Amino acid sequence: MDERFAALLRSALPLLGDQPLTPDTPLTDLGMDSVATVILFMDIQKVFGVSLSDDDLVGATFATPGTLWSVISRSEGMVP
Amino acid sequence: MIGIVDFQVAFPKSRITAQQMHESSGRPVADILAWTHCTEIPVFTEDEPAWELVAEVARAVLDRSRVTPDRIGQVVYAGSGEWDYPGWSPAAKVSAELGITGAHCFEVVNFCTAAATALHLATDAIAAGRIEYALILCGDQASRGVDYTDPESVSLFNTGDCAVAVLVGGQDVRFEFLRAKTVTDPSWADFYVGEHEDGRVVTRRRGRQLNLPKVYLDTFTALTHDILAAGGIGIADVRYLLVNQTDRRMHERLLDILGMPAERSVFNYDRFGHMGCGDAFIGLTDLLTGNHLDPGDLILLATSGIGFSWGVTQLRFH
Repeated sequence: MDERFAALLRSALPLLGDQPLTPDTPLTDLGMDSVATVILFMDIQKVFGVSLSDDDLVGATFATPGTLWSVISRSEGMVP
Repeated sequence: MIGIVDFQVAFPKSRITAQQMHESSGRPVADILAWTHCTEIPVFTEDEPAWELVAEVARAVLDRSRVTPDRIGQVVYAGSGEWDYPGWSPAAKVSAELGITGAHCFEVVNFCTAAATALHLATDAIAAGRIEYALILCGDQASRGVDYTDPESVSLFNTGDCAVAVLVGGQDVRFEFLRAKTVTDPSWADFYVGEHEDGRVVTRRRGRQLNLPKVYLDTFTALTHDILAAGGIGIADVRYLLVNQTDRRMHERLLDILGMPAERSVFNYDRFGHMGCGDAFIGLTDLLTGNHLDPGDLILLATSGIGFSWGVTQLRFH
């Protein structure tokens, strides 16, 4: 997992503790509420220089690190 | 010049503690503290009617200002509509207590932005020459609408109550009202809905809408820029931006987006919850008692309420 991505995720998950982050980690179970989601949404665009659509601001996108990363990967401006 | 002549905030005696919230909801205390930030929050109970404390602070404000009741032309009780009794006018009740007999007394329900709305109404009425002074009062029992047994209601556990009285007039103005802009996005009308349960109205959130915080930030940012443009100023000209204490992360992020350093806002999360309409006046009180204001300072109040409505009010300290 991209280190910058993992760091952003960890800051949004107050209940993660020392647990490992995997692509299938359920984000809402670890305390990522709507405010944390939107802050993460904004920070991802800033850190990765990508442009995410407001249409991506839905539960399916933020279900797990894997679903979120797949949206980031195919977003406009993303350099692999 | 029209604006706030004087104001005062007071807090009820009762407190709801994070421990009590934990015992009712089953959520861990640490989880609750992540929302409340403080271990206890002032709340009104049935044993302490809000209107009595509101009348007390209103009397103090009138006495200090030496404004007699006959000069008050408008008494506006602003808040969520969760008054001490249903089907009852707290504005009229407090007016009766204070001997204000020649005013129009009414309520403004615009939730946590209601005081700012009332301030706008009052300044309009004074500017139009219809009244000499207005008294804005806040003192609802919003905490009664919180279901502490529902762990999903944790985002509302920071709800607190307080009493506020604000005298608005055209003489001896301390905070000049310059302008305000408020907007409602009605697509959120059903996001929070009150439900009758066990003799009270409990506020429930319907569904999880991830984009509400984004709408919140986008709307406040746009309103702030509109207010700044209307005044021909930039954010650097604003001494303080006060924000309703609904969520500390949103507060910090809004300041960040606007390029406003945190030290030019007021953070009371360690002392209080979100005290409804009182947040802005608690912040102003802190600025005054801390001698943080100089004549000419510009202050913005960012307030929001269920509906959802967002407002930005610009004041100048004198």
